[in-house]
Amino acid sequence: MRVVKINAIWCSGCLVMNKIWSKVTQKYPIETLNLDYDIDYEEVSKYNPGEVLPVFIFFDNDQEVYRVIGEKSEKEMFEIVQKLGEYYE
Amino acid sequence: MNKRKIFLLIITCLLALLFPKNTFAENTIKIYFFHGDGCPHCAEESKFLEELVSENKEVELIKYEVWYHPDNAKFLERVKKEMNINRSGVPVTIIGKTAIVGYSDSVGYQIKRAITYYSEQDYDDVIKKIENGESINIVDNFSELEEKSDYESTISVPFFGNINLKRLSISTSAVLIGLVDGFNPCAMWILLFLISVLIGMKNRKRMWIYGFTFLISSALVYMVIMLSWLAVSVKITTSIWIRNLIALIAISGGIINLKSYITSRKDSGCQVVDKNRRTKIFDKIKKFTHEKSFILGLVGIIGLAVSVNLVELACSAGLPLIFTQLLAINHITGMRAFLYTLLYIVFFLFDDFVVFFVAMFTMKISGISTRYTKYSHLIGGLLMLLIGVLLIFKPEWLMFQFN
Repeated sequence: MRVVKINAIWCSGCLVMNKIWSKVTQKYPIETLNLDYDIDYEEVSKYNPGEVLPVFIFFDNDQEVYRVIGEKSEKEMFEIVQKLGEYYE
Repeated sequence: MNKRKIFLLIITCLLALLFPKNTFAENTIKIYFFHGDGCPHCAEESKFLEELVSENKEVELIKYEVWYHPDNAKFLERVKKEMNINRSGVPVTIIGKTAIVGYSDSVGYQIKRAITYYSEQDYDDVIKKIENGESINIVDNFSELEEKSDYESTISVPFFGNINLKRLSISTSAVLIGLVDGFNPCAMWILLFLISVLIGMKNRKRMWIYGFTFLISSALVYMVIMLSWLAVSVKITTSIWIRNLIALIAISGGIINLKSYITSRKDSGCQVVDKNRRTKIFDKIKKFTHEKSFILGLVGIIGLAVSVNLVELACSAGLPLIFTQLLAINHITGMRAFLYTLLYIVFFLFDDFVVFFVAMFTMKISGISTRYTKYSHLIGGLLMLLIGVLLIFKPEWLMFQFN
């Protein structure tokens, strides 16, 4: 499983989620591609990110399997990753 | 009913609220002031009333000196008998059906509340009727409503218990409204971008000065706009039309905030700002922070703060406007108005300063959870709806007691 993470430097919620995501990846080593909404705009637009940031797109064998939009709590993120891990691996 | 019809219905209802309940608001309210020459409390009240009258064109002051004018003394006795006033002594102030004996600061506020009350309730010139020998009715007067409203204005708030809205002071409002306004995300994203650029700079001294200048300039812009609006609204506060217009802005702002809360209830996060505007502001920040001349960079940062905060005022959906209206309705001007506005701004910028200081000391940019923004929409929405409705139906409840 790999994750495409779309953030922006000006997004307060993205900064909060960066800390949470680094805790998640310490426990579950997940390959993560970090994209900046402004700097990597062309690449970001391929994923159709919508109007709310941050966006976490989970892929299994290059197939999108789940999308987390906006800010979530640490507990919620761990639960999501755990469930996806059980299902796809 | 389709969405468009519902929208038109809501707009029609809101516009209907703009129309005053009666036309008495445009009539002159007479303050009958019975006083004695040489009585210190009378002199104090006289000064207060003269200032009040000079500020309100709709109010007229009629004085009766009773210590040296036997006819006036006799008339006062007749008024007291007709209005069932048992307390003796002067000063005696009559406004509509309300009689007040004695004077203190709290009486001053009571007089102001009475004027606000009679500017929209059925004002009755009782003294004129007594002079003409007509029968009078003093039942259900303002004093009785004041006592009754003390009970009615108590609301039960989860976690906080019973709160009497009348006693909720202006300072509490300044802190609460300022804090709610501060969590508005409009300026936060610009500050975060500024900080991210500042952290990339090698010059730590410049980082502090540029960041601090942005925040202080933002505070000054807010202060100037709020005080200017206050200066205008103090003069027009007795106009029921203006007050209802502000109430309408408050109600609309409340609905917008509650709608934002409902839509972001499940997915809180950062709403993407218009790309063109974002790029423009980013370019400006980069240009100013990389400016070789320190002074030019500083001027640029000040200019940016001014333009950003002018836009942010509109983004705040009227919270600063509503707060200045609270000051105006309580006749707070001068130094006290400045201090209350300062208190509002300190709490308005509280989260911005926290983010700035943490970033400057740790050299890492940290965000404040957008969950707070979500709750600020909820609290701000409810607060604006409450103030809007009170401005129309119970403006006297918004006249806080300071004694």
